Amino acid sequence: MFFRILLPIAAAFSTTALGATPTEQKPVSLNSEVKLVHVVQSGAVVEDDAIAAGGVDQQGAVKGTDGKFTLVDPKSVVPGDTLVFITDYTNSGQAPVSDFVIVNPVPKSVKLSSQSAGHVEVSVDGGKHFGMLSTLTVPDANGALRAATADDVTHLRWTITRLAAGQSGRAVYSAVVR
Amino acid sequence: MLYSGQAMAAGTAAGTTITNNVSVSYKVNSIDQTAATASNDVVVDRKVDLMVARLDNTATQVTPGSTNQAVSFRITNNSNDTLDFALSAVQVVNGQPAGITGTDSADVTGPLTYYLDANHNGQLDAGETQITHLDALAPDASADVLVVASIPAALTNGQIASITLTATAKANDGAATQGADLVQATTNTAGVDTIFADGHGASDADRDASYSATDDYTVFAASITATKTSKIVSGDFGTGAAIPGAKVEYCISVANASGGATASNVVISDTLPATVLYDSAFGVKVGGANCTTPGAGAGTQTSGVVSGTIASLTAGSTQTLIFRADIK
Repeated sequence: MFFRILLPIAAAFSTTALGATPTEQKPVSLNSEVKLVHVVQSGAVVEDDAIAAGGVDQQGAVKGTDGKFTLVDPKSVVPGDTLVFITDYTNSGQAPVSDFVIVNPVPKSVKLSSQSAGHVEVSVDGGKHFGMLSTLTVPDANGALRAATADDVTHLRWTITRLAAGQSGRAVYSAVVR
Repeated sequence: MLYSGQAMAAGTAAGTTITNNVSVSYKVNSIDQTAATASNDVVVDRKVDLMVARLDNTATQVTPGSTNQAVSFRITNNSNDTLDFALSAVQVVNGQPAGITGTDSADVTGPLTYYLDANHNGQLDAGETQITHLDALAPDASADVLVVASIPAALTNGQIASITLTATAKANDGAATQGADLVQATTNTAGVDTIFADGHGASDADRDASYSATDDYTVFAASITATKTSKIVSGDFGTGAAIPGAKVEYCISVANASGGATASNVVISDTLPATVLYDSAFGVKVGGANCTTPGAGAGTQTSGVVSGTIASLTAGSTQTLIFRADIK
């Protein structure tokens, strides 16, 4: 599982929530940020799962589950560095939300990590079509089709069927600065 | 992903902004809604990395006394920004290891000058430009630089003179002059910081914005030795004694030691003692392989001085000059 939805204790919705109408402009609150992976020991495996589950303190106080990296503010970023793109979402409205789709364009100057590429729906054509990377193809230099790689990914997509009122989650991917 | 420390190409340009743009769509009570958000920007910093390497692993063969001799280096800008590069060439101290193989045993004659090797052949060619620094080298671009010196006449075959070239990244000042020193950020800011990410070469340190490499000159010279022998050929009544009236054959044997250069125009001259009279009937025979085989070439004798010229004497070979004189 690439992302994980955190289930707050108070996630159960009430009858009032069910009956509410979407009067709020934005019942879903989003917060996205970018963190830099600071490797403290060689061989670190940047685990999107663990970051999504909150296993890594974003302030860098807690190391990755393998103890080999921390996440820090991206003040010093050079080519070759790994960045973690994090989007936190919360249904802050009173009503449940359905067909919740997050589309995250991959900036041109980063390359999606292979680990992230295998765990979420991606697009290799600028967001027109999505699918698992292993099912996608791109034209090669001769016009024939070749299997798409993480290098080709332009967008990521997460689809959450239902997000109850008060429910929140986190979508995460990691990428390397080209 | 697995993290490795391997060097990458220059990559994303310094100052590039990376933004986490997110758009979401969802339904509330089956009514479409949209929202979007973007995070704070991440600005890619200036990663300073460079490489200096010998253009090839063959020492430059030089002849003692020659000028404009070059050792060649390739400087590559692996930084993600266009930079100027200062150049500093120094001679390796005698007794220290040479760049390619062996031990430095000689110095060349300075001042060491720098030229852009426009045709990348490792040699100084007519029309190639003298430089003081490398100006405005783009990310991933490289330039070939020659360090040029003269070779002292006193150097002998097989001696090695090594040159270490250090290139140091400087800011690109946008002009033909060398830019200012780069200063590594002590506190990272949200803007573009400078970070040294270079390794170390022959004589510099890691993460000092410099890289160095050593290339060698090897002296390729002829090593000539001459030996003079004589024997009585007639007029001694069979005694072998050097008596008045006896005829003496002189042989000057000139050898060029193996492993060196071919010597050309080797001039031999020998002043006859006053006690002998040059035998003009025999003449001066030059170019024989040994003292028993007079060569086909002819030398001269003028006022008691015998001379001859060996046009070409390859390494490891010997040629002779033979003449005769009568003891007065």
